[in-house]
Amino acid sequence: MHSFFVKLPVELLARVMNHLKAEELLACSCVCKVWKTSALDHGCWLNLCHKLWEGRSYVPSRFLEMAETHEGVIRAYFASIKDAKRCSITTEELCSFEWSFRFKRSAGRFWTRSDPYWNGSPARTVKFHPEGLVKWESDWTRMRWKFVEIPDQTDDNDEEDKIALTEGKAIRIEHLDMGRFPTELVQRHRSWGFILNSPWVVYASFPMVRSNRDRQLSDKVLEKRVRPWQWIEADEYNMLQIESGSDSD
Amino acid sequence: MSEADPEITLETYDKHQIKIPKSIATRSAIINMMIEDTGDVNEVVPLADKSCTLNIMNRVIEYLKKHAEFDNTGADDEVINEFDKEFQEQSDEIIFQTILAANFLDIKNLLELMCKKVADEIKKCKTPDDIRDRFNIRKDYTPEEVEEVKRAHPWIYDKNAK
Repeated sequence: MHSFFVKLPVELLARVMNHLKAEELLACSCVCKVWKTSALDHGCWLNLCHKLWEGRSYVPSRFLEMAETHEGVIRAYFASIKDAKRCSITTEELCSFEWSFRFKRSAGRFWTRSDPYWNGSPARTVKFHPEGLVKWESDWTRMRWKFVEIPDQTDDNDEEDKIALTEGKAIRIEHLDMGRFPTELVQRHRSWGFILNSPWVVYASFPMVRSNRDRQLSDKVLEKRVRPWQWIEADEYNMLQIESGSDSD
Repeated sequence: MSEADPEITLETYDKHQIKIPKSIATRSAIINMMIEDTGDVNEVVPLADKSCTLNIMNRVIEYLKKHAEFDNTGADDEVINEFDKEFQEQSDEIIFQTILAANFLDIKNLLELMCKKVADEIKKCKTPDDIRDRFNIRKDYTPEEVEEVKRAHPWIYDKNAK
Protein backbone atom coordinates (compact mmCIF):
# COMPACT_ATOMS: atom_id res chain seq x y z
CA MET A 1 0.00 0.00 0.00
CA HIS A 2 1.21 3.43 -0.89
CA SER A 3 1.40 6.04 1.81
CA PHE A 4 -0.47 9.11 0.61
CA PHE A 5 -0.93 10.98 3.80
CA VAL A 6 2.74 11.60 4.54
CA LYS A 7 2.68 13.77 1.43
CA LEU A 8 -0.14 15.92 2.78
CA PRO A 9 1.05 19.55 3.06
CA VAL A 10 1.39 20.65 6.71
CA GLU A 11 -1.47 23.15 6.54
CA LEU A 12 -3.81 20.36 5.38
CA LEU A 13 -2.49 17.93 7.96
CA ALA A 14 -3.28 20.63 10.52
CA ARG A 15 -6.87 20.72 9.20
CA VAL A 16 -7.13 16.97 9.75
CA MET A 17 -5.71 17.31 13.27
CA ASN A 18 -8.25 20.00 14.12
CA HIS A 19 -10.89 17.26 14.19
CA LEU A 20 -9.02 15.25 16.84
CA LYS A 21 -9.27 15.10 20.62
CA ALA A 22 -6.34 15.68 22.96
CA GLU A 23 -5.42 12.01 23.44
CA GLU A 24 -5.60 11.38 19.71
CA LEU A 25 -3.31 14.32 19.02
CA LEU A 26 -0.76 12.96 21.46
CA ALA A 27 -0.82 9.60 19.69
CA CYS A 28 -0.30 11.41 16.36
CA SER A 29 2.68 13.26 17.79
CA CYS A 30 4.49 9.92 18.12
CA VAL A 31 3.85 8.79 14.57
CA CYS A 32 6.64 10.61 12.74
CA LYS A 33 8.41 13.95 12.76
CA VAL A 34 6.07 15.71 10.34
CA TRP A 35 3.01 14.57 12.25
CA LYS A 36 4.62 15.59 15.52
CA THR A 37 4.92 19.21 14.36
CA SER A 38 1.25 19.33 13.35
CA ALA A 39 -0.03 17.40 16.36
CA LEU A 40 1.78 19.61 18.86
CA ASP A 41 0.83 22.84 17.12
CA HIS A 42 0.20 25.61 19.64
CA GLY A 43 -2.91 26.95 17.90
CA CYS A 44 -4.46 23.51 17.74
CA TRP A 45 -4.00 22.95 21.49
CA LEU A 46 -5.05 26.46 22.40
CA ASN A 47 -8.25 25.69 20.52
CA LEU A 48 -8.73 22.52 22.54
CA CYS A 49 -8.09 24.41 25.78
CA HIS A 50 -10.65 27.06 24.85
CA LYS A 51 -13.21 24.38 24.01
CA LEU A 52 -12.46 22.58 27.28
CA TRP A 53 -12.73 25.76 29.35
CA GLU A 54 -15.68 27.33 27.59
CA GLY A 55 -18.61 27.78 29.92
CA ARG A 56 -16.70 26.62 33.01
CA SER A 57 -17.50 28.69 36.07
CA TYR A 58 -13.87 28.61 37.20
CA VAL A 59 -10.52 27.96 35.52
CA PRO A 60 -7.47 28.99 37.59
CA SER A 61 -5.73 31.87 35.83
CA ARG A 62 -2.38 30.08 35.94
CA PHE A 63 -3.66 27.65 33.31
CA LEU A 64 -4.69 30.50 31.03
CA GLU A 65 -1.19 31.93 31.33
CA MET A 66 0.41 28.51 30.85
CA ALA A 67 -1.58 27.96 27.66
CA GLU A 68 -0.16 31.11 26.11
CA THR A 69 3.20 29.45 25.54
CA HIS A 70 4.00 26.63 23.16
CA GLU A 71 5.74 24.65 25.90
CA GLY A 72 2.89 25.11 28.39
CA VAL A 73 -0.28 24.64 26.41
CA ILE A 74 -0.47 20.82 26.55
CA ARG A 75 0.37 20.77 30.24
CA ALA A 76 -2.27 23.44 30.82
CA TYR A 77 -4.87 21.26 29.10
CA PHE A 78 -4.24 18.15 31.19
CA ALA A 79 -3.32 19.90 34.44
CA SER A 80 -6.56 21.91 34.36
CA ILE A 81 -8.61 18.71 34.03
CA LYS A 82 -6.77 17.22 36.98
CA ASP A 83 -7.11 20.41 38.99
CA ALA A 84 -10.88 20.41 38.48
CA LYS A 85 -11.02 17.33 40.77
CA ARG A 86 -9.11 19.05 43.58
CA CYS A 87 -11.36 19.07 46.63
CA SER A 88 -9.47 21.78 48.47
CA ILE A 89 -9.45 25.51 48.12
CA THR A 90 -6.83 28.20 48.76
CA THR A 91 -7.58 31.32 50.82
CA GLU A 92 -7.04 33.33 47.66
CA GLU A 93 -9.62 31.31 45.75
CA LEU A 94 -12.11 31.30 48.62
CA CYS A 95 -11.91 35.07 48.89
CA SER A 96 -12.05 35.71 45.14
CA PHE A 97 -15.57 34.40 44.51
CA GLU A 98 -18.95 35.87 45.17
CA TRP A 99 -20.52 32.77 46.68
CA SER A 100 -24.19 31.99 46.47
CA PHE A 101 -25.82 30.45 49.48
CA ARG A 102 -28.99 28.55 50.18
CA PHE A 103 -30.54 26.46 52.87
CA LYS A 104 -31.40 22.84 52.17
CA ARG A 105 -34.81 21.39 52.97
CA SER A 106 -33.12 19.58 55.85
CA ALA A 107 -32.67 22.98 57.58
CA GLY A 108 -36.42 23.14 58.09
CA ARG A 109 -39.29 25.28 56.85
CA PHE A 110 -38.37 28.16 59.15
CA TRP A 111 -35.14 28.74 57.23
CA THR A 112 -36.16 27.86 53.67
CA ARG A 113 -39.27 30.06 53.86
CA SER A 114 -37.23 33.26 54.09
CA ASP A 115 -34.55 32.08 51.66
CA PRO A 116 -34.78 33.91 48.29
CA TYR A 117 -33.55 30.76 46.53
CA TRP A 118 -36.64 28.84 47.62
CA ASN A 119 -38.83 31.69 46.40
CA GLY A 120 -37.49 31.39 42.85
CA SER A 121 -35.02 34.28 43.09
CA PRO A 122 -31.24 34.13 42.71
CA ALA A 123 -29.62 32.81 45.86
CA ARG A 124 -28.20 35.11 48.55
CA THR A 125 -24.59 36.09 48.00
CA VAL A 126 -21.72 36.18 50.44
CA LYS A 127 -18.01 36.96 50.36
CA PHE A 128 -15.23 35.49 52.46
CA HIS A 129 -12.47 37.85 53.53
CA PRO A 130 -8.83 36.88 54.06
CA GLU A 131 -8.91 38.15 57.66
CA GLY A 132 -11.65 35.64 58.46
CA LEU A 133 -14.79 37.74 58.11
CA VAL A 134 -17.82 36.46 56.24
CA LYS A 135 -19.54 39.36 54.57
CA TRP A 136 -23.26 39.14 53.66
CA GLU A 137 -25.11 41.86 51.78
CA SER A 138 -26.19 43.49 55.04
CA ASP A 139 -24.43 42.14 58.08
CA TRP A 140 -20.72 41.38 58.05
CA THR A 141 -19.45 41.66 61.55
CA ARG A 142 -21.21 38.67 63.11
CA MET A 143 -19.71 35.81 61.14
CA ARG A 144 -16.21 34.39 60.76
CA TRP A 145 -14.68 31.52 58.82
CA LYS A 146 -11.58 29.38 59.25
CA PHE A 147 -10.06 26.30 57.67
CA VAL A 148 -10.35 23.14 59.76
CA GLU A 149 -9.00 19.60 59.52
CA ILE A 150 -11.21 16.79 58.29
CA PRO A 151 -11.74 14.16 61.03
CA ASP A 152 -11.88 11.20 58.62
CA GLN A 153 -9.21 11.49 55.97
CA THR A 154 -10.61 8.68 53.83
CA ASP A 155 -11.45 11.10 51.10
CA ASP A 156 -12.99 9.62 47.96
CA ASN A 157 -10.69 11.88 45.98
CA ASP A 158 -7.59 11.10 47.97
CA GLU A 159 -5.83 9.35 45.13
CA GLU A 160 -6.27 12.31 42.86
CA ASP A 161 -5.36 14.61 45.68
CA LYS A 162 -1.87 13.63 46.68
CA ILE A 163 -0.40 16.93 45.58
CA ALA A 164 -3.29 18.94 46.97
CA LEU A 165 -2.98 20.96 50.13
CA THR A 166 -3.93 19.30 53.36
CA GLU A 167 -5.42 22.62 54.32
CA GLY A 168 -8.41 24.00 52.53
CA LYS A 169 -10.55 20.84 52.44
CA ALA A 170 -13.00 22.02 55.06
CA ILE A 171 -14.24 25.31 56.46
CA ARG A 172 -15.97 26.07 59.74
CA ILE A 173 -18.21 29.11 59.93
CA GLU A 174 -19.15 30.67 63.23
CA HIS A 175 -21.80 33.23 64.10
CA LEU A 176 -21.18 35.36 67.20
CA ASP A 177 -24.74 34.79 68.45
CA MET A 178 -25.69 31.53 66.82
CA GLY A 179 -22.52 29.55 67.43
CA ARG A 180 -20.39 27.27 65.30
CA PHE A 181 -22.23 25.71 62.38
CA PRO A 182 -21.39 22.22 61.14
CA THR A 183 -18.24 22.04 58.98
CA GLU A 184 -18.50 22.90 55.27
CA LEU A 185 -16.78 20.32 53.11
CA VAL A 186 -15.05 21.63 49.97
CA GLN A 187 -16.31 19.80 46.87
CA ARG A 188 -16.32 20.40 43.14
CA HIS A 189 -19.11 21.00 40.67
CA ARG A 190 -18.96 19.76 37.09
CA SER A 191 -18.63 23.37 35.96
CA TRP A 192 -15.29 23.28 37.80
CA GLY A 193 -16.74 25.64 40.40
CA PHE A 194 -16.50 24.97 44.13
CA ILE A 195 -19.23 23.79 46.47
CA LEU A 196 -19.21 24.09 50.26
CA ASN A 197 -21.46 21.31 51.43
CA SER A 198 -22.85 20.69 54.93
CA PRO A 199 -25.99 19.14 56.43
CA TRP A 200 -28.26 22.19 56.27
CA VAL A 201 -26.74 24.59 53.78
CA VAL A 202 -24.76 24.79 50.56
CA TYR A 203 -22.53 27.50 49.14
CA ALA A 204 -21.53 27.59 45.46
CA SER A 205 -18.76 29.69 43.93
CA PHE A 206 -21.14 30.57 41.06
CA PRO A 207 -24.74 31.83 40.85
CA MET A 208 -27.37 29.35 42.04
CA VAL A 209 -30.96 29.62 40.83
CA ARG A 210 -33.60 27.08 41.72
CA SER A 211 -35.19 27.13 38.27
CA ASN A 212 -31.89 26.05 36.69
CA ARG A 213 -32.61 22.50 37.87
CA ASP A 214 -28.99 21.57 38.31
CA ARG A 215 -29.08 17.96 39.47
CA GLN A 216 -25.65 18.11 41.03
CA LEU A 217 -26.90 20.93 43.27
CA SER A 218 -30.14 19.22 44.25
CA ASP A 219 -30.65 18.40 47.93
CA LYS A 220 -30.77 14.71 47.11
CA VAL A 221 -27.39 14.58 45.37
CA LEU A 222 -25.72 16.97 47.83
CA GLU A 223 -26.95 14.92 50.76
CA LYS A 224 -25.07 11.86 49.50
CA ARG A 225 -21.86 13.85 49.73
CA VAL A 226 -22.38 14.92 53.35
CA ARG A 227 -20.29 12.77 55.72
CA PRO A 228 -21.63 11.11 58.88
CA TRP A 229 -19.36 13.22 61.11
CA GLN A 230 -20.92 16.37 59.68
CA TRP A 231 -24.31 15.12 60.87
CA ILE A 232 -22.82 14.45 64.30
CA GLU A 233 -21.67 18.08 64.36
CA ALA A 234 -25.18 19.12 63.34
CA ASP A 235 -26.61 17.14 66.29
CA GLU A 236 -24.07 18.71 68.62
CA TYR A 237 -25.07 22.15 67.32
CA ASN A 238 -28.73 21.45 68.02
CA MET A 239 -27.93 20.17 71.52
CA LEU A 240 -26.00 23.35 72.31
CA GLN A 241 -28.82 25.51 71.00
CA ILE A 242 -31.30 23.73 73.22
CA GLU A 243 -29.01 24.07 76.24
CA SER A 244 -28.26 27.75 75.68
CA GLY A 245 -31.95 28.32 74.93
CA SER A 246 -32.95 26.89 78.31
CA ASP A 247 -30.15 28.93 79.98
CA SER A 248 -31.56 32.20 78.78
CA ASP A 249 -35.09 31.23 79.83
CA MET B 1 -28.83 25.74 -20.58
CA SER B 2 -30.50 29.01 -19.79
CA GLU B 3 -28.68 32.26 -20.43
CA ALA B 4 -28.57 32.99 -16.75
CA ASP B 5 -26.66 29.75 -16.17
CA PRO B 6 -24.33 29.19 -19.17
CA GLU B 7 -22.08 26.18 -19.45
CA ILE B 8 -18.47 26.51 -18.44
CA THR B 9 -15.73 24.31 -19.86
CA LEU B 10 -13.09 23.12 -17.44
CA GLU B 11 -9.87 21.55 -18.60
CA THR B 12 -8.55 18.97 -16.17
CA TYR B 13 -4.87 18.57 -15.38
CA ASP B 14 -4.79 15.46 -17.63
CA LYS B 15 -6.22 17.54 -20.52
CA HIS B 16 -9.85 16.40 -20.55
CA GLN B 17 -12.63 18.89 -21.01
CA ILE B 18 -15.70 18.89 -18.76
CA LYS B 19 -18.77 21.06 -19.26
CA ILE B 20 -20.73 22.13 -16.20
CA PRO B 21 -23.28 24.86 -15.43
CA LYS B 22 -21.72 28.09 -14.21
CA SER B 23 -23.79 27.95 -11.02
CA ILE B 24 -22.05 24.70 -10.12
CA ALA B 25 -18.57 25.80 -11.22
CA THR B 26 -18.67 28.98 -9.16
CA ARG B 27 -19.13 26.94 -5.98
CA SER B 28 -15.35 26.74 -6.25
CA ALA B 29 -14.02 30.12 -5.14
CA ILE B 30 -11.02 29.71 -7.45
CA ILE B 31 -12.99 28.85 -10.59
CA ASN B 32 -15.35 31.72 -9.79
CA MET B 33 -12.37 34.07 -9.64
CA MET B 34 -10.95 32.75 -12.91
CA ILE B 35 -14.26 33.25 -14.71
CA GLU B 36 -14.56 36.76 -13.35
CA ASP B 37 -10.99 37.51 -14.39
CA THR B 38 -11.56 36.66 -18.05
CA GLY B 39 -15.14 37.92 -18.06
CA ASP B 40 -15.83 35.39 -20.81
CA VAL B 41 -17.89 32.27 -19.99
CA ASN B 42 -16.82 30.68 -23.28
CA GLU B 43 -13.16 30.60 -22.36
CA VAL B 44 -11.83 27.23 -21.20
CA VAL B 45 -10.83 27.24 -17.53
CA PRO B 46 -7.59 25.29 -17.06
CA LEU B 47 -7.09 23.47 -13.73
CA ALA B 48 -3.37 23.63 -13.12
CA ASP B 49 -3.08 21.48 -10.00
CA LYS B 50 -1.93 17.86 -10.32
CA SER B 51 -4.81 16.68 -8.17
CA CYS B 52 -7.42 17.96 -10.64
CA THR B 53 -7.55 14.91 -12.92
CA LEU B 54 -10.67 13.83 -14.80
CA ASN B 55 -11.35 11.09 -12.26
CA ILE B 56 -11.11 13.42 -9.25
CA MET B 57 -12.91 16.31 -10.95
CA ASN B 58 -15.84 14.04 -11.81
CA ARG B 59 -16.13 13.24 -8.14
CA VAL B 60 -15.75 16.88 -7.06
CA ILE B 61 -18.45 17.89 -9.55
CA GLU B 62 -20.75 15.12 -8.34
CA TYR B 63 -20.35 16.56 -4.84
CA LEU B 64 -20.97 20.14 -5.98
CA LYS B 65 -24.07 19.18 -8.02
CA LYS B 66 -25.55 17.19 -5.19
CA HIS B 67 -24.97 19.99 -2.67
CA ALA B 68 -26.43 22.57 -5.09
CA GLU B 69 -29.51 20.34 -5.24
CA PHE B 70 -29.63 20.09 -1.44
CA ASP B 71 -29.43 23.87 -1.17
CA ASN B 72 -32.15 24.40 -3.79
CA THR B 73 -34.55 21.88 -2.30
CA GLY B 74 -33.76 22.65 1.33
CA ALA B 75 -32.92 19.00 2.00
CA ASP B 76 -32.95 17.56 5.52
CA ASP B 77 -29.65 17.31 7.38
CA GLU B 78 -30.21 13.58 7.54
CA VAL B 79 -30.28 13.27 3.73
CA ILE B 80 -27.19 15.48 3.37
CA ASN B 81 -25.27 13.55 6.02
CA GLU B 82 -26.11 10.27 4.36
CA PHE B 83 -24.76 11.49 1.02
CA ASP B 84 -21.64 12.98 2.65
CA LYS B 85 -20.94 9.80 4.56
CA GLU B 86 -21.15 7.70 1.45
CA PHE B 87 -19.03 10.22 -0.43
CA GLN B 88 -16.28 9.84 2.19
CA GLU B 89 -16.02 6.08 1.65
CA GLN B 90 -13.18 5.96 -0.85
CA SER B 91 -9.69 4.60 -1.20
CA ASP B 92 -6.90 6.47 0.54
CA GLU B 93 -5.64 7.71 -2.80
CA ILE B 94 -8.96 9.25 -3.79
CA ILE B 95 -9.43 10.79 -0.34
CA PHE B 96 -5.94 12.25 -0.52
CA GLN B 97 -6.39 13.62 -4.06
CA THR B 98 -9.84 15.00 -3.21
CA ILE B 99 -8.38 16.88 -0.23
CA LEU B 100 -5.73 18.41 -2.47
CA ALA B 101 -8.27 19.30 -5.16
CA ALA B 102 -10.77 20.77 -2.68
CA ASN B 103 -7.96 22.83 -1.20
CA PHE B 104 -6.75 24.03 -4.60
CA LEU B 105 -10.29 24.82 -5.79
CA ASP B 106 -11.15 26.42 -2.44
CA ILE B 107 -14.27 24.36 -1.72
CA LYS B 108 -14.38 24.61 2.07
CA ASN B 109 -17.12 22.15 3.00
CA LEU B 110 -15.67 19.44 0.75
CA LEU B 111 -12.20 20.04 2.20
CA GLU B 112 -13.54 19.73 5.76
CA LEU B 113 -15.56 16.65 4.87
CA MET B 114 -12.51 14.80 3.55
CA CYS B 115 -10.19 16.00 6.34
CA LYS B 116 -12.74 14.75 8.81
CA LYS B 117 -12.68 11.37 7.07
CA VAL B 118 -8.92 11.11 7.63
CA ALA B 119 -9.40 12.21 11.25
CA ASP B 120 -12.03 9.47 11.70
CA GLU B 121 -9.55 6.91 10.38
CA ILE B 122 -6.99 8.16 12.93
CA LYS B 123 -9.59 7.89 15.70
CA LYS B 124 -10.03 4.20 14.92
CA CYS B 125 -6.37 3.59 15.79
CA LYS B 126 -5.42 2.99 19.41
CA THR B 127 -1.67 3.57 19.42
CA PRO B 128 0.92 5.44 17.36
CA ASP B 129 1.93 2.05 15.92
CA ASP B 130 -1.65 1.45 14.76
CA ILE B 131 -1.65 4.84 13.04
CA ARG B 132 1.64 4.07 11.30
CA ASP B 133 0.27 0.74 10.12
CA ARG B 134 -3.00 2.22 8.95
CA PHE B 135 -1.41 5.04 6.96
CA ASN B 136 1.74 3.15 6.04
CA ILE B 137 4.00 5.77 7.58
CA ARG B 138 7.62 5.00 8.26
CA LYS B 139 8.82 5.66 11.79
CA ASP B 140 11.56 8.26 11.46
CA TYR B 141 12.21 8.71 15.17
CA THR B 142 15.44 7.60 16.74
CA PRO B 143 15.03 5.74 20.06
CA GLU B 144 16.38 8.88 21.79
CA GLU B 145 13.70 11.00 20.19
CA VAL B 146 10.98 8.58 21.26
CA GLU B 147 12.29 8.86 24.82
CA GLU B 148 12.21 12.63 24.54
CA VAL B 149 8.57 12.63 23.43
CA LYS B 150 7.69 10.23 26.25
CA ARG B 151 9.41 12.45 28.78
CA ALA B 152 7.72 15.60 27.54
CA HIS B 153 4.27 14.01 27.35
CA PRO B 154 4.01 11.09 29.77
CA TRP B 155 0.24 10.91 29.26
CA ILE B 156 0.60 9.29 25.84
CA TYR B 157 2.13 6.13 27.17
CA ASP B 158 0.49 6.19 30.60
CA LYS B 159 -2.88 6.04 28.97
CA ASN B 160 -1.98 3.10 26.78
CA ALA B 161 -0.35 1.25 29.62
CA LYS B 162 -3.61 1.11 31.60
